[in-house]
Amino acid sequence: MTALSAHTLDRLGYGDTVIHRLDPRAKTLATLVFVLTVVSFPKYVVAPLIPLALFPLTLMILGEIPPAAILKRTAAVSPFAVLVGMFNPVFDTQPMAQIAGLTITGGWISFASILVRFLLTVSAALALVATTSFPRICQGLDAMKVPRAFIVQMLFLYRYLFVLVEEGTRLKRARDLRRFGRRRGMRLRVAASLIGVLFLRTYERAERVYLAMCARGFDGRLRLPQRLRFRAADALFVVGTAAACGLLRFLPLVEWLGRWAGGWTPGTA
Amino acid sequence: MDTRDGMNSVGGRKRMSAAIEVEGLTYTYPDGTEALRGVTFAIAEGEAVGLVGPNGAGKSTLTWLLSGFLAPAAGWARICGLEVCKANLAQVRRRLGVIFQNPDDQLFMPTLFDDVAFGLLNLDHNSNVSTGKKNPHKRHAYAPDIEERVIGALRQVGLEAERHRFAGHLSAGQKRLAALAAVLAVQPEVLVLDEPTSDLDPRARRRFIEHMQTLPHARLIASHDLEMILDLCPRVLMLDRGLVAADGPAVDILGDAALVESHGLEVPYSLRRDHTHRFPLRGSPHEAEHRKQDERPGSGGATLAQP
Amino acid sequence: MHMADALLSPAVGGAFIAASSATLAFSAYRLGRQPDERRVPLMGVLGAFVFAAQMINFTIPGTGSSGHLGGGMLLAILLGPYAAFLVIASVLVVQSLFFLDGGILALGTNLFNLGVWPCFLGLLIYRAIVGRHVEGWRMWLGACVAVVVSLELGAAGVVIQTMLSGRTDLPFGRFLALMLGIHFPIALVEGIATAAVVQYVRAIRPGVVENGLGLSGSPPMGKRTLAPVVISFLAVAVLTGGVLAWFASEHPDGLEWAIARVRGSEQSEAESPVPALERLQQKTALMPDYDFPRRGEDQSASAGAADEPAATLPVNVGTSAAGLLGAALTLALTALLAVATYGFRPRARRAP
Repeated sequence: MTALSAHTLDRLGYGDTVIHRLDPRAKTLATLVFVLTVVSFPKYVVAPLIPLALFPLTLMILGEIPPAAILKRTAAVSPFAVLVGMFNPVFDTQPMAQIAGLTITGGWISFASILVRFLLTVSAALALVATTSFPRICQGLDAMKVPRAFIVQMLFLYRYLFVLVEEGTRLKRARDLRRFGRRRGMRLRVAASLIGVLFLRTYERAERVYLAMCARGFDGRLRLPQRLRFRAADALFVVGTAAACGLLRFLPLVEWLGRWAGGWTPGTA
Repeated sequence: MDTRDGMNSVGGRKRMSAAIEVEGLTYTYPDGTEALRGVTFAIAEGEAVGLVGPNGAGKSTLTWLLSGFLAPAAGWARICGLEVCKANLAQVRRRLGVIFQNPDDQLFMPTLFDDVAFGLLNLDHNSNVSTGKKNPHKRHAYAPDIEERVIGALRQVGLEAERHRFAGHLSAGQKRLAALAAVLAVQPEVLVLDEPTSDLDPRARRRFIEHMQTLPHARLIASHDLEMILDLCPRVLMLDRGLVAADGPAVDILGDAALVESHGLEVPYSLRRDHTHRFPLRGSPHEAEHRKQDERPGSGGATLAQP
Repeated sequence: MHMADALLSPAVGGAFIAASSATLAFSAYRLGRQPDERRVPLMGVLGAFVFAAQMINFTIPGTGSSGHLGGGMLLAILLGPYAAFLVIASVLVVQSLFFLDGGILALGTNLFNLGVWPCFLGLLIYRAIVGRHVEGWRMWLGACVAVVVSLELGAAGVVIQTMLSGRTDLPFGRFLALMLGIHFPIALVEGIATAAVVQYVRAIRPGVVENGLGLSGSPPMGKRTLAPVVISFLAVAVLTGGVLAWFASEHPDGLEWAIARVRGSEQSEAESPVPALERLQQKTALMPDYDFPRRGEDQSASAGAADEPAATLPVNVGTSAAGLLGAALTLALTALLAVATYGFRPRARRAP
């Protein structure tokens, strides 16, 4: 995952759609409810998880997020979860189901479950940040009484993230231009001095930023304009998401749908 | 305080008090470098002065001393009659707007709106700080007109529509204008600019200069961009090795080849062939652009654009 | 080694969110008690620095592979525990949102694994070894030991959290050995790199490191009275996480468990989870060749019956077949919706 693709993701957050206009608190809460719902399903569950994809998909469709951007990113992620889940089929060989003559062990089912969970939670986080700019997320957290010191920390981190990543890339490129055929990576000592240079530049930048803040009356406390309004639509969004998650969690809707459809196509169920 | 001749030549208004006064200002860095050695000058209200000089002349040090980031070893500086010292710092900084060399250092809040609001919220807070005791847990409720003032400041530089954008997504030119808006929002009386056009492409630079020309503030503009100085400042202050090397009308000083070159600078291109004409390229394909420039007030000679 | 949402149960995730939020609130409170205005931009910019530093990868001696600095210990050394913890927390939030490392629910566990250990315990170890002499072998040793200990503890945390959540079948011992083994060389390199950067910064800007970047809030290096605070605080954090997580381990699926209790019946027994250890026993007790044909018959016979004993067949085949079909239909509907929405919208999308 490069910083460059983070940049495109970041730009998406500044769009202006129905979803973008929702209160960041509403979206954060709804995403949390969604993630909790996903992880609350028992270990050997795959099918009932799938319709939960409606949540990220709805956000992305209404939020006008280009599907390619999301798909590429979800696929490109190197998931620790998948690595760990991969061992499930090895250790859990208890047969659990037979589909079309193939015996499926519990390990495979739980592995599939982990994969689906992974895709769902990752795409939900993506949908959140692609439809909510980071400063708005911070505004939401601020309104939810997260310590101000932490909000300020995140705002500054975000503001200088791309600036510094660019600086790091420049340093690295300058070094690469002079490495004359050595392969990727550099000697630890070289890298350490590059990082040291970067650190000192960062430190000096912090000094300049501090002066700029002082020049505009900074007295140690950062005041943030508060301008969020939690409207009926936001409440509706949270309640709707929670209700949908609850329904999908506690009612076997998918199974009903399957049976109903199975009734029309004899021999399936 | 003696008033300097430079002031009387400025504008048609009655004698004004000085916006910036500097007397015998001296500063030595901890490593022993003598950055300023007794600098004295004054800038009248509404006057625009260019600060030129080679690298290491002390330009940046001077701007830092004026904004109170450094304390002088000797001498003093006054902004609108207030001495720049620790006790006056808050008052001085309300009156003084500083544009830093790198707008990325200056636009430290993620969105333009928040950045412009930053100064206003501090101002707002400080102006009614006496009304109640400080409560660190209280979320600061801001005056309702702050939103209007922020939008007004951004409108002034034409960035109103970008107010919710991430500062990192702006172009270099937009960043400069945004920095200007953030400073103008708190309605300073004096502006100090450090290399305001250093990283701008020609069009962005032109736009920035045009915005500067509409401002009524007293200005001190430190830059190597002598053409910009010629456009914006009727008067030039030349520093070299910590001393004032020259102080006077911009066209005279910057057009004086011997003087300019002895201080590590070069005569700006537009003054090279003919000292009396600002634009020697008249008749060239660039003519239209230059004529436009010529028609703007304050772009030539020693008269200053007054609102 | 970011923990992922997919491996967590709500109870474990929630417990660690609680523990980490408490740590965060405490750190913010402690910072507020020693206000230093200069720290505000410095901490923020240093958070961004961590990302930039991670762009610079170096060869790991002897292996030919490359690694990059994690940065947690470096921040702790330079900023002190509380400020460093806030910085690391902000880095993890951004990583979870923009770089898809970890997840939203997993933030609590990640912050605990990657933040609490280096900032509090790691720093304590570093200071104990280094003392007042931020140079020479003691500094290198201190950085290495501190990073190894905190990173290994973090790795162990990942294992424990995963096991408590009951989503994986990896045997605890093997999983732990694997994670600790993988992370040892990583930690060693990180320790060396951290020390190298500290040394470089010291050489170029002497005084910066010793005085904690010249901030008033961050104490200078050397023996401190910090130890009792850190230890008691750490104990509270571990207890909070541990106790809550223990609760979670008895009920790997806290929500399910709670719902079952509320309803007074095990309605969704076909899917009811079996606690991890119990499942392990079961697996060893049951014969692998456990009668397939009968289950095949079962499948056709009792397609609709939901009351099959969970011990023999945890997943009802009929149920899951219908479930899969239903899921496929839902997805098809969603896809249709997506195609319709994208198809009918004019291509000119608002550019952000």
